[in-house]
Amino acid sequence: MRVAKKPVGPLAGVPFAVKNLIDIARLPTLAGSKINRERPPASADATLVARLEAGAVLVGALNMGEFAYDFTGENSHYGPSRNPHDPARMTGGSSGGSAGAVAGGLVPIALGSDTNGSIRVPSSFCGIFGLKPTFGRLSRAGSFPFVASLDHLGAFARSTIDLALAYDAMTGPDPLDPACSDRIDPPIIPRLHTGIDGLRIAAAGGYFRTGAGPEALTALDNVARALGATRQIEIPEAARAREAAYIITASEAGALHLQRLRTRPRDFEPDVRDRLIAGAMVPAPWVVQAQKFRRWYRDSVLRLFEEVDAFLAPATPCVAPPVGQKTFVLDGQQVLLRPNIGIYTQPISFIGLPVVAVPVPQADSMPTAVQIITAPWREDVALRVAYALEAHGVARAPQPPE
Amino acid sequence: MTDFAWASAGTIADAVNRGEASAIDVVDQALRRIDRRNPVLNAFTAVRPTAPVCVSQRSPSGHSPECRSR
Repeated sequence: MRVAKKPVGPLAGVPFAVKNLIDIARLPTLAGSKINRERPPASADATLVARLEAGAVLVGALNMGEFAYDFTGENSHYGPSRNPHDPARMTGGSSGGSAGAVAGGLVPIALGSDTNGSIRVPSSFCGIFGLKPTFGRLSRAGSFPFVASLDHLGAFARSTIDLALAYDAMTGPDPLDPACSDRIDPPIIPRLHTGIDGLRIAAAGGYFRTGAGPEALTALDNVARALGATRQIEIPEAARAREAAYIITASEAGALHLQRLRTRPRDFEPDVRDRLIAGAMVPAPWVVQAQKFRRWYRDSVLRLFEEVDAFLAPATPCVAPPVGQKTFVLDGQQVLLRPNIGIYTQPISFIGLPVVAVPVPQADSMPTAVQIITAPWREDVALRVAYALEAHGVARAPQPPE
Repeated sequence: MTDFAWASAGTIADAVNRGEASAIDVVDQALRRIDRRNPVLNAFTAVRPTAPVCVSQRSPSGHSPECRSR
């Protein structure tokens, strides 16, 4: 027994679980890999785990794509996580176990990480709410990195209120994470019900509609209609933003794993190994150029927030594919599935904007989610919009059959 | 006892704070459900039955007091 006193507070007695790249004291942090089995067990809980444990109760560690380089939730070492709405389908990744556990009613709250879409993609495939906060908002102390420039921790839940409860319990500065902001904003729960009157909301057009399948477009249009969002805005150079996100991702992840790639390549999952090796060979001028472009792109997108308070985009181009599927059709082209599921999420996390993914159930179809994207540090606005959509009935985490 | 499988975090915390449910019972239920559903979903790679409120000797299927990994 670690805590003898009776749990209290807004998360008293709530079971939760965390993606296994977040430290749990006395458990190895495997990050979905075979290689990390050799690491000693974590000596302490990660900051976010400790903060939730003020009232909530940690019940375990969750499956994930190896080293988080994944959009499928598949893992050849530990087996694929499976979608509660149809176990023959993917959860999405890399936080696949987190989304499966919440969507399947095993826990009401789970933590995950999102570098290029690893919270928003599984939220979409599993039909639950996901929050990827502003870069630097939540402490990453005690988590296994993937791409330090782009890694975010965040949460999954079956309702906006639960997402906000978890978020409020986790925010705040942390000297253990140098990237964590010193900002302190008021809790969101008391403001969640304040409505969306006066908020200027637009749908992202152009790039963010190109390639979207019918379910994704229907979900987006249903959400836009419910919000009265008739305006479309163009996000400048979103395609280039995605390419630059991949250059930074590949090179930083390749560098992080370089020694292990040299000495024990066979211990990596083959799909991940190949991408990491390619990443380790990305020319430095490309990386420098990608970072320069990132500043330009960030400034350009931030200017859009002078005109809108939030914009909408699909979270994924399609519903969850079957486990094991390698390709899918995107904009009429047969393309590889693994690298292309995050086309709509990557240009957003690339500049650290906060996003709530809201699930939109549809008759006779798997669910899919819509991203509500706001200016940095305005998680409150994204969560208020999500709450309004839930109250309206258009956003909901459907309960799967068992 | 109330079935908390699909209950929201807010509902659970309210019940625990009002003394209508004990955290031990809630977590016990969650662990049983994980035992039953995880073979299909493969969401958990390690379950930790001795979580902070101590899910006691009453934990399902005789979990050892230490963390149980697959």
